[in-house]
Amino acid sequence: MKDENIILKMENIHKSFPGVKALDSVTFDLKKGEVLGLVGENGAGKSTLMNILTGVLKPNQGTINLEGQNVEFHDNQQAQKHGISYIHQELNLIDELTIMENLFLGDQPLKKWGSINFKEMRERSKKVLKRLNLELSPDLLVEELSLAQKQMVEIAKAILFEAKIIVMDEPTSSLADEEIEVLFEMIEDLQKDGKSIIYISHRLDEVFSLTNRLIVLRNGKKVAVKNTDEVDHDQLVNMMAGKEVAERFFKEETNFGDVILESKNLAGKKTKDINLKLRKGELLGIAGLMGSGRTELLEMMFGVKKIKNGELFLNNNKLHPRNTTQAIKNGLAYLPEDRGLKGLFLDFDLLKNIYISKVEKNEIITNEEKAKEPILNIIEQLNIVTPSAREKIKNLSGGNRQKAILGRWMLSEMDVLLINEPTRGIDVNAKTEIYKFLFELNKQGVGIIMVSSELPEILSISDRIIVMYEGEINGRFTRKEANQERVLKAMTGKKADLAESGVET
Amino acid sequence: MNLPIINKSMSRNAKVFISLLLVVVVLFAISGIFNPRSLSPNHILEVVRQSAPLGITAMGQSAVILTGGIDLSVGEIITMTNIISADMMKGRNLRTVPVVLLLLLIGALIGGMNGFMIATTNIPPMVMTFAMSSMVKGGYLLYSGGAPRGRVSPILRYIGTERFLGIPVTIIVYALLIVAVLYYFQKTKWGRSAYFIGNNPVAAEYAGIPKTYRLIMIYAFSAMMAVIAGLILSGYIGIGNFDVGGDSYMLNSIASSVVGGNTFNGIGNVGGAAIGALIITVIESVMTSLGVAETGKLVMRGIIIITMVTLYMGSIDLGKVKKLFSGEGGSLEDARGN
Amino acid sequence: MLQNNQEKNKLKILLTKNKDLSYLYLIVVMIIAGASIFIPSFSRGQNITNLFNQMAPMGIVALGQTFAIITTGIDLSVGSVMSLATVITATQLDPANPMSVFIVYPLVIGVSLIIGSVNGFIISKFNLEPLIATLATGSIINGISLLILSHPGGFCPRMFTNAWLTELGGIVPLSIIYFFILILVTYFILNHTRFGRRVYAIGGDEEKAKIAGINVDKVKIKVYMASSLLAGIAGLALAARMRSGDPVSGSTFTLYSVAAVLIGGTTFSGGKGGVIRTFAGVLILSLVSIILNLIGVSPFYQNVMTGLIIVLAVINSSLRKG
Repeated sequence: MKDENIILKMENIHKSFPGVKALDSVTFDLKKGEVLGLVGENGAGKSTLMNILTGVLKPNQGTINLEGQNVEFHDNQQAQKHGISYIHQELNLIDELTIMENLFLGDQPLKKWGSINFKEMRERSKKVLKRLNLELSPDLLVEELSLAQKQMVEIAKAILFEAKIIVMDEPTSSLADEEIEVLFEMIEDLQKDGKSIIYISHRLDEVFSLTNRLIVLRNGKKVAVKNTDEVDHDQLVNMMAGKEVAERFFKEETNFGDVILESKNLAGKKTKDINLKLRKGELLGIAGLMGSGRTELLEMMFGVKKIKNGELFLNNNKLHPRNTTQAIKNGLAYLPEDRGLKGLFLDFDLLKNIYISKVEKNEIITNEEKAKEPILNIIEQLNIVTPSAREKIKNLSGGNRQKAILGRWMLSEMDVLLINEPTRGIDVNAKTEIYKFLFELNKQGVGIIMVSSELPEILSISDRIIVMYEGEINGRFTRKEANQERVLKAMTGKKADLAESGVET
Repeated sequence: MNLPIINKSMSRNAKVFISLLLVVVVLFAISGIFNPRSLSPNHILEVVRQSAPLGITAMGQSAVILTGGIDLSVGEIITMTNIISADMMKGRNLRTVPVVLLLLLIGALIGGMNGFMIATTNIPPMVMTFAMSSMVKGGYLLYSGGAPRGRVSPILRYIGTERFLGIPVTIIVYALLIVAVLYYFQKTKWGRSAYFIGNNPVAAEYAGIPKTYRLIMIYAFSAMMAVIAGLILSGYIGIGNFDVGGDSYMLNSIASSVVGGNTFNGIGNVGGAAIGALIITVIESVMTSLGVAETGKLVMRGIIIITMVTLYMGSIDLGKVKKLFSGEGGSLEDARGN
Repeated sequence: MLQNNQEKNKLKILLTKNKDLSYLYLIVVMIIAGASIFIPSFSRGQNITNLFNQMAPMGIVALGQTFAIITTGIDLSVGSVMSLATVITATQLDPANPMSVFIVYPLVIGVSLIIGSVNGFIISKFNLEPLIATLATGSIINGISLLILSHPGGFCPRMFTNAWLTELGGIVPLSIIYFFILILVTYFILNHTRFGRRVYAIGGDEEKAKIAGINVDKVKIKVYMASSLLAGIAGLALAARMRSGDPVSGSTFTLYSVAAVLIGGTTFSGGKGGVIRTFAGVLILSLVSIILNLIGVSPFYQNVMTGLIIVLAVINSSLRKG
């Protein structure tokens, strides 16, 4: 297999974590100057595979062959020195340092007597920034850049250090159309320079337009490697999900109750003119790009962010939660997007994590023994996989952690559940279980508002969909009216043709 | 520690507790070797009595440390309590209750202010409580004009020095206090929330814990415990004296909390500080009886802290947490691991 | 032409980034101006000399503390190191033997570096919180000082103190010159060497710094060595000023050094700040202290005032995060 064109070959890669087999005998190769798309659902193993390639993780089994030689990376530095660069979705830049410091982190050019040669640093930085058409001064602090700009700086870093292989993980998730165009041009340029790119993205249309070949992962296994022009959209989704494209989750038609939550002209720091209604038993999905204000909306309702203008009504009573304690007492619940940071107490056990909100809401003197029974019930209902209720929550997988937080709110009984990215980073099975559970809650009369960046998810399970763009509502759809095209259009700022269906959203 | 008494499935706190008890037993044994009389029940009671003010202060300090903070004002609060109680009581019993209540109120205000500032601004707890200690010191110096006066009431003297049915009254008060404190921090929602706030201040808010109120309460608690400790010390000494309390008490309270198994991450147990205080007190008394000067005690304190904390680290798995002295931040690395 | 524009851009960015620092120095200038006008004794040569002599040890130790705080750590042992330095100095200097001066300097520096490396080692390899680790080592060092000298004592003869107290032009003591030199040196190290930039990187995000290949442990050890070294030097300045040794003289310096760093606007969240800021903090603390003395505020009130000022100053500095 001595194809001179092949720059990288990963063979029989196995990787396991406690309780989870993340990668099962994955094999593929990468040609010089090609763009290889890496697709798969969340949890399919894409990040793990790339972490192995870039030296962050070590495989349990398997080999990496770079330019004809077998290599073993002990750390990320080594991988970088071999010309492999990984541009993460959560960028690896240090906010407190300047652009040029980040570009040259740890490897600054020196003057003769050992002090840093800022002049050289600045010039080389300027050169590479110019090449990317970035009108940025190298002395700007990274924390002042927009997400899109930060992404570009990461790419600049890869170019600066003459990477041969660049892995891009969801690079367009926070870019506007014009910025995406620039990125695509850049990728073409890089290709012409003979660099190879591994492109990870959920946006299948991008994958189709950019890539030469694509590899599909599902549940840690390689499902297929194909030339991009040999596959169409439906086939690809089929391979990724293993099910028929048209399947939507079976949702019983429920009768919605009265309006339980209503906002009138709600406005916050980034948002304004938010008018919406949520009925009992309804699942309202909120779509939008990163930065469109969705999180702020939920957090205003939950008492985390300040409401600058407008009003909120719960059961027709004015509601103005000044803090989360008030929100919870009023029957609101929140599943945050960043579980580790905003949801979990990682050093404590499952029971404590579930019990806490009930304690704050209803109790003064706690009794963990008494609470054990209802909590065990909830653990069973939600199918949380754990050796015991006393297991430290950091030992549980992402899906189970999410269920734990859901269990927390179930224990303290809510009327309205606000969810932010319900299944981010969760394996497929847990996902399905969580959806089923949300439907159960709906049946019980709980109203749900769900923010999600996964379009298929929103389209599948929402009863109605609201689209936000730059802080305002830019689209309202009923379940029947919504489709990927319309919602995407609204998400990116264009007004879709809305068919009013008589039901006020 | 891999002794047969401690098995893997025990909780971290249980392991710490048993380790502490072992250390105490070993220490007493050692002191017994040098001086058999030190093992008499009388002497043991004396040592426990001696450790009481430190233990009380340390329990308050633990509560603060558990939330990721620190209270540097406790030393001066003790001194203030001593000066004011002697001066106001003037040796009269009737004055006891009002003066005690007044001092507790002052303590609550001092601590409450600490907590309020720390919770609502970015000011690091270290700085706020340090500044507060400075102000408290100025306060009692001004109050006393540089010359401490008066005597505490006979009731307070009784509590500080006498025995009831053979047991020092101080210990009775101490024991009751420990029970109340343990109950408060294990069983009530207010006390419990300290652990949660310390482990993840952001998640605490999202879980519905009113962080600001709780922090005010916890710092007020610490200050009030310092007042109580100051009262007991005043009962023991009888008069006002600028040497009571102070820096070394403050540092020892931190040492006791840490040795008692408390971390800045919400892991630990407020009650552990009492045992930590006992350990430190025993060590000091052993060294005194061995004729070791102040110097050795200080060295020992340092070594003990390092040793115990390192051992604890071995039995828990702490992720890297960004510096939490500004009351914000959770585990970002764990966050990425969703 | 382009060169000038680039320079201007750089300066503009620097100034806007650090607007609050400019305000801080403005306050310093206003304090000095105000004091000179309203307090006649302020501009008296002797008082200025006193101010400088007071500022030198505090300033030097605060420079060292800056390193630790930038990395989101803290060094609570600096006060004890200073005391130890005074004790070693006062006991090892022998007026009858001029050579003893040449023993004291390397001895103090050597001991400081060893202490610093122990601190750094415990913090990085044992994974102890810097607060606890340095609290503990500070205690141990305190004990050692008391072992050497149980009461204030010893003597620092002129052959030693001259190097610190000699006044240039009758007003400016050498100690403050050394302080200024050290400001420049530490500024250079933190901003113009790879090591210095690593210090900031670790403070900004330790994990990402590690991923970028920085040897975090090594850098931390060096940071605490720097902190202890500067504390040792500060101790020498203190010994010269006191002309004797005192095993507990340094204790107040610990927390004041932290306060100076924070007042200057370097925060515990790490990755930002620096010695220019610390210098401002040192100036403010020293000026406040001297002024309160000069206007005859009772030392009791001084405590209260100092506390208040620290609170206000730190809040002000932390507000810049907006």
